[in-house]
Amino acid sequence: MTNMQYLLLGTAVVWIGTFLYVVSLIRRQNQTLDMIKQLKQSLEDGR
Amino acid sequence: MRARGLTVLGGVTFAAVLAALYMALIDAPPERFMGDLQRLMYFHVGSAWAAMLAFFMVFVYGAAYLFTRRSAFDRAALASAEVGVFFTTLVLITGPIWARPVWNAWWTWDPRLTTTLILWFIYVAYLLLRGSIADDARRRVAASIFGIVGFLDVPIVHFSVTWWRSIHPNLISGGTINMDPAMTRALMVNGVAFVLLYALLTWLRTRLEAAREEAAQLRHRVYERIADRPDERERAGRNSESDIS
Repeated sequence: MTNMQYLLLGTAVVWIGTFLYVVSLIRRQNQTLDMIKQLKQSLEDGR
Repeated sequence: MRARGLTVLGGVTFAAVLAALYMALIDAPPERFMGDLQRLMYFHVGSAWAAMLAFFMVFVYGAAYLFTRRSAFDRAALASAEVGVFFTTLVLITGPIWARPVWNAWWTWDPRLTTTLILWFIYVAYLLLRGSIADDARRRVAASIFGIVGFLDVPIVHFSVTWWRSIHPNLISGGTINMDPAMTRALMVNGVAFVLLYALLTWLRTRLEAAREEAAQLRHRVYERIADRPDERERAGRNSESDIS
């Protein structure tokens, strides 16, 4: 591998990794908010 | 108001990241011996600074939780630890990618590398510890103490290149950065971008933890209601039987 290829590999690891981490945080947040909505609904249905 | 703050921080961080990429990959001059490969240092050092800040904040939030017992501090400590582990992982990946062509080895048991790996293990253990204690109050106290004690490795990582014989480059000595001014500028812009990235990721992770705690409380209330009403308990039992079959 050339030096430029090592640079591209390192740069890709940092920024693709960061992007994927941000996406995973937003996805987990949306899933949790959906779950909260369902749980609130089931508590209201039970009244 | 909070959503607006998050949007503003996201926008500022995005602009800072673009500036950091420009400074590192285009504006900064190539290094005399390593050429363009040295540009990886801007992301490597930026990640390392963000990781150190993250673990310092775990220490601060842990102490704040022990003094006040406010769960918000514990959530912030957890978020900071996870983000710190993420940045340390980037450091431990970009380091060997740089080292392979320069040192002709992916890894050596150099003091800086070894203490950084130990740091990563300490905070992975912190996250595992949190997952292993069911009782909320006990988990928060144990995690706070662990976070405070674990921070002891951070100054050891920082001073490892001066305390022991190390082949790891030492950028900062005697309070000055030993680099060309254009490189120093690129490093500073990257430092700011990674600190903003730390703030954004920690905010997102803290928000997620608050939502998870709310979901756990609601789930508990649903279970309590099922336990209180025999007809619902029966229905829940029938559902679980049909799930098994």
